Amino acid sequence: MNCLNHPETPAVAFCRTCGKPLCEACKRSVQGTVFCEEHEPAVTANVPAPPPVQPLYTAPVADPNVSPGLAFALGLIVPGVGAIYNGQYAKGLVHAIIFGLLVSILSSGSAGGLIPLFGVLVVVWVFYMAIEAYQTALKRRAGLPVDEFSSLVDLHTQGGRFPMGAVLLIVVGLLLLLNTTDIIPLERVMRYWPVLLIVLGVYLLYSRVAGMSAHGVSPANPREEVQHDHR
Amino acid sequence: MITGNDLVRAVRGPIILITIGTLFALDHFTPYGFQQTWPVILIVVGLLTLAGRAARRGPTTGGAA
Repeated sequence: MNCLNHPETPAVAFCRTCGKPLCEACKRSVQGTVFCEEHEPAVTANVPAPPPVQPLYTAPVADPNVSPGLAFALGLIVPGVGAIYNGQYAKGLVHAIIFGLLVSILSSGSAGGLIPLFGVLVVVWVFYMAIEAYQTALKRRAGLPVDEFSSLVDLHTQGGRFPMGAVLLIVVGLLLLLNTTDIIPLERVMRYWPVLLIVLGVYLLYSRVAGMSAHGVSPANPREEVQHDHR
Repeated sequence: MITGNDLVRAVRGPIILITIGTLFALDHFTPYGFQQTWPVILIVVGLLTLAGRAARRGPTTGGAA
């Protein structure tokens, strides 16, 4: 979400009166409460402090006590606890649920011929959670903004790019649902796996060409350009 | 601009909970076991992500092009 006055700057706070998003330059802090320029109350001396209102979202401050190593260790030992250590309770819950689902699928035998895939996925997921917690802890220590559902893979691309993560989830979900309900066994679908390579190639080609034509940049560093793409 | 996105964020957790609850209810009361229906969770999460994206983009760009 970006500032209402500066659409290219990310918002760091919201006005308490009208609720509009504000960037660092636009926000006015009066006795610990954030207002926009119009609703900034005149500061008078010796006014009794306003009731402590929790701002909807404030820019984080650098916290030197955050230990990325501890976050990594916690994330590795117990699923989801790394995220909880970072104060991301919902994400910790989601991490734990996904871990539990993967293990349940493995142990229930419903994975069929895909047991090796899910076995590897469980291991990868454990390390993903730990490394994600480590990176988030690094960000928190540096005082960078951390989204509740931040992840190593940037799923929140703002621009007009193809919603890869969402579509992938839906397609994989549909395939697995067809498999578990015995409508189309996964073995029959898996024979078409080379199509994935083709689709991936087309997608990469598309995003690079789109990024280049939008900015007229050299193809030397296409990845960076794609990330700056704000339509 | 904010409301649509915030709405999707607000309903995300409850909708996932309702989905999981429904699946377990199906598991208990119908022949559809949880080991058959669990991919529905993936689909719901994907749809919610798409909805959040549409809500973020829709009001500013006049709908997904």
